[in-house]
Amino acid sequence: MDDKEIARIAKMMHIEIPDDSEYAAQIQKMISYFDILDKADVQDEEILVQETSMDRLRTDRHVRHPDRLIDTIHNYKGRYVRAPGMT
Amino acid sequence: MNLGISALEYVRQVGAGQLSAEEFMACTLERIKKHDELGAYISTDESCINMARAVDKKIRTGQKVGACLGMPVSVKDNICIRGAKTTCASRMLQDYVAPYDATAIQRLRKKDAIFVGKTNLDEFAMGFTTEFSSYGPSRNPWNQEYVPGGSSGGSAVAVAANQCIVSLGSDTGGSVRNPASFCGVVGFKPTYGTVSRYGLVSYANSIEQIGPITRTVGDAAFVMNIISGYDPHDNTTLQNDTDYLDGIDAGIEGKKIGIVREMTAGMEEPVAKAMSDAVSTIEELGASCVDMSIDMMQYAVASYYTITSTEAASNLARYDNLRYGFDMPMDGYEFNTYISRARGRFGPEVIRRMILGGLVPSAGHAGRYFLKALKVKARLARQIKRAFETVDLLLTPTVPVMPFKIGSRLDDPVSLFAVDVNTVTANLTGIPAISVPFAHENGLPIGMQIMGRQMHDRQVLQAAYALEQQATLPEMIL
Repeated sequence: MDDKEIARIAKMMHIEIPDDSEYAAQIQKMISYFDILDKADVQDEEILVQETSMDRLRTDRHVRHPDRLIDTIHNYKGRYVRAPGMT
Repeated sequence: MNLGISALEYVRQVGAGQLSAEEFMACTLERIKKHDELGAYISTDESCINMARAVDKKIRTGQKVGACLGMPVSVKDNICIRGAKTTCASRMLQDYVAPYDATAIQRLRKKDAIFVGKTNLDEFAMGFTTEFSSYGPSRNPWNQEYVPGGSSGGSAVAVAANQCIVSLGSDTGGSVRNPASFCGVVGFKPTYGTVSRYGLVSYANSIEQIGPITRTVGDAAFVMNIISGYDPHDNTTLQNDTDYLDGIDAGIEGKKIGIVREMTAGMEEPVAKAMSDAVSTIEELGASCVDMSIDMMQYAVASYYTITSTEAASNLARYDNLRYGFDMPMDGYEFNTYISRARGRFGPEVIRRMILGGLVPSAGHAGRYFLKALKVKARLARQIKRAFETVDLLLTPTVPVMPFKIGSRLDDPVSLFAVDVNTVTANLTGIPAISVPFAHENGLPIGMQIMGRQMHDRQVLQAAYALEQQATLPEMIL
């Protein structure tokens, strides 16, 4: 895992990290720690999945909130959240 | 006034008219202000004095009062209280006011608990020392130069320093138990699905749980009786009407306790001595201890970080500063640049974990890290299940190291992994676990952890109660 790869992932995650930061070295170190997983002999193991039956799901219905929640957002117009333009 | 009483004692005294809820609350608020240097709270609610007065009035006039009788409860600042700021100790959410109550809060409110304030934590609960809070670190009340543990450090400090009676924390990899151990209080992580996560700001949904931090094991059972149970807002919750207080003094005679080799390796000397004393105590109480090995535990921490980073990166992707966030003008920004700039408000630990969480499940890396971690988790769950076919409970030190000085390990995130090495297994496998104060060394407490089978939370509490009766900690002087 080189610094370039870490910078690529950071960009993908929309996170700005300065080029000279210690992040790359620290993340390298953490990733190296994760390499211990290479030694785990779990090839044949099945991954557990949490299943929820349909009857346990709550009813899909609109519940009106007593407040106008959009008022808590800094930038909105009418019923819409404002966002910077995409290029 | 003695603010160090247990919740059960508070309820008894207030119910009998021997103690005023208002006076107790006033003294609690004064105590919070007096020891502000501990950094336990991010915010407090002065209006709780009026609520306590109303509880006194209800008692005086013979009206129905909830089981908490105005008890001051603090809440980790990643659990929503309607109308209160919920910052997650992040500058990203510094202005966020929760529009609804978490289910655990609703249930406590119904029982006339009063929320005295929101407690400090590692930003978004990512950390082990409460040093990664954008509001500054919390300090261990036993020695303020030392960390209180984390991420629910503020909650543990508040309970230990008599700044509330009980607190709610959240435990993703030990975040309730490890600060409880470092601060000499009780921290309980219930079976996954026992307490609703509705209103808990998500970090790693598949393994995190809300749990009580209290002065006594009995208090933890008391709080569990209120906050546990099925919630239609969280479909991972389980139908459950257990009375956790019932038979809490049943003892552990005849029980078989497993001592897992992988969880007793690498202990610092005072912790090893405490562990040995705990084993002797348990045997004196009529239980037998057996040595055992669960080999997947050596991969538990790496598996834990891989899974939690992945879930955290997904959960934190919602912080684009458009729907949740702080006031940052958007003029002159393009959409993606705006989000990247706004996320500069995240602290270093959150940024590290988001990058890790972007990397470990990504194409080219998933097979080596994320999928492998999920397989380790599955194998570990099977091994734990098998272990509980031969023993009733597992005993370990909660944390294999003693509390350390604030700032001493900040530059080396990997060295901090050692703090959670004994606690992550309960989260990965969904089993209940508790930390109970047992010993002390150089004026700092040491906690013991007891784990049990899924949905056997009551047995875990009973064993912890038995151990608690044998432990003596010196009085903490603040």
